[in-house]
Amino acid sequence: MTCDELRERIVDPASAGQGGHAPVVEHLEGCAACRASAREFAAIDRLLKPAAPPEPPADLDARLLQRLSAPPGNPWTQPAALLAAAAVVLVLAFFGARALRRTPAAENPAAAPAPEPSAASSPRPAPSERPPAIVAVGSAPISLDRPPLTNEEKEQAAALHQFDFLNTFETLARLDAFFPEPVGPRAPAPAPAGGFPSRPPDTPDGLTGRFLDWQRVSAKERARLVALDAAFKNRPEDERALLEDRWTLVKDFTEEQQVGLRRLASRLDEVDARSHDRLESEIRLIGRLPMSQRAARWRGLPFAKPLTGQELESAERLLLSR
Amino acid sequence: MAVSAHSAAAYGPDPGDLLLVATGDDGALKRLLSRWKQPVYAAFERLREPSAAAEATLQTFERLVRSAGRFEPGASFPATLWEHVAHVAQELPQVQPVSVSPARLAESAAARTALQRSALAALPPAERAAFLLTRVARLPLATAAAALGTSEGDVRRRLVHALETLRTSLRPLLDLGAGGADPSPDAATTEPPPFGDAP
Repeated sequence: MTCDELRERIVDPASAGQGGHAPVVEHLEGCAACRASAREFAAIDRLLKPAAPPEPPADLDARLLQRLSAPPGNPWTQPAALLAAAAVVLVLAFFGARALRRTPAAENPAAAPAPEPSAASSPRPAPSERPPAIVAVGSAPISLDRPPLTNEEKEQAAALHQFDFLNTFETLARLDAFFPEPVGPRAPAPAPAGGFPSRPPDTPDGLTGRFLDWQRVSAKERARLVALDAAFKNRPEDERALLEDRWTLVKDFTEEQQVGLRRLASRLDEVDARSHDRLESEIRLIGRLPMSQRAARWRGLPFAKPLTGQELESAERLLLSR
Repeated sequence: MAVSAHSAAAYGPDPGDLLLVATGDDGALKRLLSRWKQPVYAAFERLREPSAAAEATLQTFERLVRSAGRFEPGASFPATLWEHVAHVAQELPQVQPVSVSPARLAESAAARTALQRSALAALPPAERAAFLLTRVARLPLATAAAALGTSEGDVRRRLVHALETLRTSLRPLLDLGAGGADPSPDAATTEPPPFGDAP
């Protein structure tokens, strides 16, 4: 068996064993390069496997139905209108080309701009098949290709706290019950040496990464993050310290667990004010119990009964992180 | 072809629903979406950020619906669906892998994800589609080959090229140990493919 044959066999997990493992194992025992390939092919598989199956956005069905039911009266979807539009473009191009031939630039080829590639020379996919320049989930458009950042944009990006933090601190503020002290001036958290991890990037690597991230973010998303950052900076210093302290606890939660926290905060919002105070006390009491008792007591609360597994586990991890 | 709910059901849930979709049955479309949107989205989500993955998923189902009238009742539904996925994946713009420092990769899950996505999006379209169908969506090789309109041998060759390219572009992550190299020669042979005929 050659190296090429071996690699073509091991790339398909389901059929790698067809014809017996013996030739594969025999080759691997004698070929360090193929051993390295096999190891790293498997490592790449594991690397690309998400921690939790990603879920499509909730509005996907509605968006598809909306797209499929595009108004039949839309003139741009009608073949006749498309033909008419194409004819208009051709006429304009013809007269535009004639006009250009009369310009000084046309008389001086060195000053003329380079011609655009001909549309006819490159096959152009149908409008519905072209990848869009702007795509969106719900109301948040994300630009796929963006020009380099200006200095002003870089300054704006560099001043922001970590994006994950900005997307989470409001949730953390609503999860008071799960922390020893409510957000407020009563128990400001001491800043750790080196500052909180949510601080804006302050190393060359950190800044480079931030600029890369910022380049991929749409104008609308940028505005949202800037607004979140401003809202955070407008909070009293004590609150900021407490929220950043909470972030140090949850920043390593998986994406799934972060979603669980957001859902948990929404569940708490649904509880009426009186029950909320009682629930908050109960959860704080659980937080003071020995670690070994916390999970069972938490799951025993009437509030916890209807929660999903994701919400229960996120809260449990939070209670055990303290 | 006139298709009733009764006659469509005889072809099995997926082909039957696709035949009903061709008649404008929204309920059948919703059933197909409920069964298949997650694996399709999950495949694209490895390739692009969530909003672009959602857009690619929408394009896939839009193509599926618009071509539903040409679906032959005896044809394989997974091969038909994943053929559209492959087309959409191949049409996504090829990008350069992002360059991220090891320090940032070590500290940021978002940076690791960005590098993974850009590495896959940087693959040549044909290799990217083969990789997506077999290694991300875990289709059996035969289904992937049918969806890609090529032979199993060609899919294998595309996969080898793709994986060798990824060994280079994902090197910082592999060195970081995020993949956790497995010394077992059989490590790549153990996982069953989940999306053969139904999710």
